[in-house]
Amino acid sequence: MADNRPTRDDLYTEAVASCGSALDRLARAYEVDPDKRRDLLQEIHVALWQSFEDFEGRCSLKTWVYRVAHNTATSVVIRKKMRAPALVDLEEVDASVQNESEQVLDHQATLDRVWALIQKLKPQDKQVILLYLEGMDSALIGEITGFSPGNVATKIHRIKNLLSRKFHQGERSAK
Amino acid sequence: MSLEEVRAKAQQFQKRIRRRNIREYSAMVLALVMAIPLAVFFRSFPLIVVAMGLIIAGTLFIAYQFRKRMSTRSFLAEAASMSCLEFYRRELERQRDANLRIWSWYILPMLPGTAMMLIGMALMPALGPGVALFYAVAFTAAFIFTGVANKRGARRLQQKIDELRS
Repeated sequence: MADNRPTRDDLYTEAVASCGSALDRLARAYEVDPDKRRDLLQEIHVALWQSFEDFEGRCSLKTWVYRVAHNTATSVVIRKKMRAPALVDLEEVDASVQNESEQVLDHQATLDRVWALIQKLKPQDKQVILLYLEGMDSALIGEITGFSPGNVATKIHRIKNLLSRKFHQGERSAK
Repeated sequence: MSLEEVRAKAQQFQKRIRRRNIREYSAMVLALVMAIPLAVFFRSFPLIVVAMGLIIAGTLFIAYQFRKRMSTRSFLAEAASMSCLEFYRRELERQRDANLRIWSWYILPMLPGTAMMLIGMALMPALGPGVALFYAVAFTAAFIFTGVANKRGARRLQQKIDELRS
């Protein structure tokens, strides 16, 4: 009897079609340097393709893709932790935002700063907000990250407040 | 990335691992080959010959431990089956344990060979106890520094693990 299960190549193609651009954004959130970011993205794609050898459909393709991508990126972050600037808690990010001097910012600059804030977050906060920004609900975010849906909601609330303050600060400065 | 590019990258990655393995094995073979004339040269000092053998054995053991800790297969299985929180905690714990066990898998295997080498040096008329003592102090300082630095690293990692649990 013919095996109708999708092959590793089929699964990878499907994953890239549905989550390819999200993986680009994910790499951006983990790596500031463009060259290193490209390397990270390639590492994620290769890990993803290799991982599909063992995909048995016990979870959704989306959950699988985001777990492999985030965990690969986290592993890279841990490996280079001695060279990288320290990752900080939300409270510290918040304080650093409030202490910054007023400066004129256009929309792109504000977005860049929001990305810079996301890049500074610890892996678990970064994962939650990135998945939220990809439009996922608390249950799916919880399944991928391992946090309870309630915990996810709290984290999203706190990070959103911080990012929102950042946006408004940028708008006020632009006026 | 297209499928072809990913396949090519995966192959490159495998080739890189193969090349690294070949390099490591070549270095070991080279060390063994270089040890033979040294062993012949020091044949009248059996302690030095035995010490060299122990240092080579210790190096092989460390290389094996490194290999054991860097399995790509188990990494992929865990990356796909574990939640991000679980995986992050596991990675931190793995690194903490590697730091804590540095004595047993990195320093301890080198101790018998180093100690025997120092005793051999102390008994050699051309070197004597003074030179041996100098190297003994240097090796001890290096071992202690490595151990303390890793213990400190393990403490920092434990703090991060505790933060995840709180």
